[in-house]
Amino acid sequence: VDQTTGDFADFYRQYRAGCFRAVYATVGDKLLAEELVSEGFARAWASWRKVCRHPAPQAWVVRTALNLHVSWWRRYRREVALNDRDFPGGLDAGAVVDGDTAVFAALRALPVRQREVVALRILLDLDVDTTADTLGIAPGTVKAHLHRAIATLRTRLATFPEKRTAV
Amino acid sequence: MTQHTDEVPAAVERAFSAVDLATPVDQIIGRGRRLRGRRRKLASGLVAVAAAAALAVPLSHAAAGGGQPTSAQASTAPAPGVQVDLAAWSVHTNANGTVSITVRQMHDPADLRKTLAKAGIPAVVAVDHLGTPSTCVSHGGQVPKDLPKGIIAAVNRGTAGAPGVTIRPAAIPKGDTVYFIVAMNGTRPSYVLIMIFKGTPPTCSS
Repeated sequence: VDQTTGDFADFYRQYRAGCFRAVYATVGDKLLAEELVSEGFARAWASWRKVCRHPAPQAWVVRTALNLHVSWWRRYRREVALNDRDFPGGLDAGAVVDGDTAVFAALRALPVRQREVVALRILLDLDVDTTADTLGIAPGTVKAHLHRAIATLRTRLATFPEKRTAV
Repeated sequence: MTQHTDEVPAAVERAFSAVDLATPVDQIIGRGRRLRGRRRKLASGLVAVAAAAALAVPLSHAAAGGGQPTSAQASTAPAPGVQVDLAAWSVHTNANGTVSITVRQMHDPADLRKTLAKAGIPAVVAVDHLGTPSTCVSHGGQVPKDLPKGIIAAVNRGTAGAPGVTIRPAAIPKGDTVYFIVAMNGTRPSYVLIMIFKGTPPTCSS
């Protein structure tokens, strides 16, 4: 195994879950997220000499995957409808659901930008500045989006009290 | 990873804690290699287009200098196959009958001429040094013919940018000779220039 492959394999092991969670949280479709993140990592490998010098290569992978999602969505939006692969949305307030399902549903209800900020800040553990660079917005905007998103999630999760006790 | 003390980020983290990407790293790297290969292919294609553009100027010059109409009696004899790889140059007969030539150095034009003849290309090989007075392009008063259509199947670039060209021997009219000029930039071949002469072209000197 050459040095490049070894470095990339270490990077993949370290960040594959975080990248996948971030993209899954944003696009809401597990299989699609898997395809997008795999392609994002493959592109990172193809440009590894450049990507490995990126201050946050995991953010590069997620940005690439989300850009691919935009292309995919533009191409297929007429054919695609939300289906059972998407995490659940539209649950009635007060419905009895387990904690994970409630979180997925609450995330789904967020505006895309807020979901992206939650994904990068919480699931990929990026700092404010890197999140801002990745999304092309100001650090202050990241903070504002995260604040609003958490407030909305808190309100939304509070409507599922019975099974949220473990939180 | 940051441990979130706020219950909402902690709940989000926990909800996704079992989510992991199952794609094996080998599969990712395999796909990455294909992407990289495709990109290199595209880049070499662009170099070939650039080389073709570089070649187009001398070729159009040659065509403009020739006022004679083409007697397009193409040879129909199958070209003999040649597969030669030297440090200086390569000549390969392809499955479709075309012959690919790549020039990396040029010390012995006569040897390349013999190999081209074996590949079905009657040629005179000459070396032209860029930046010095040359008789290659003025071709000693002899007028080159219009280049027959299809004689150049492709313009290639080998490793390290070595110039090359793919010639279709079947498109060379009978009795004509290819004037194969290797233009040198210092000690390295920069591009190749193809002309067609009736009979034997003049020897090039520079």
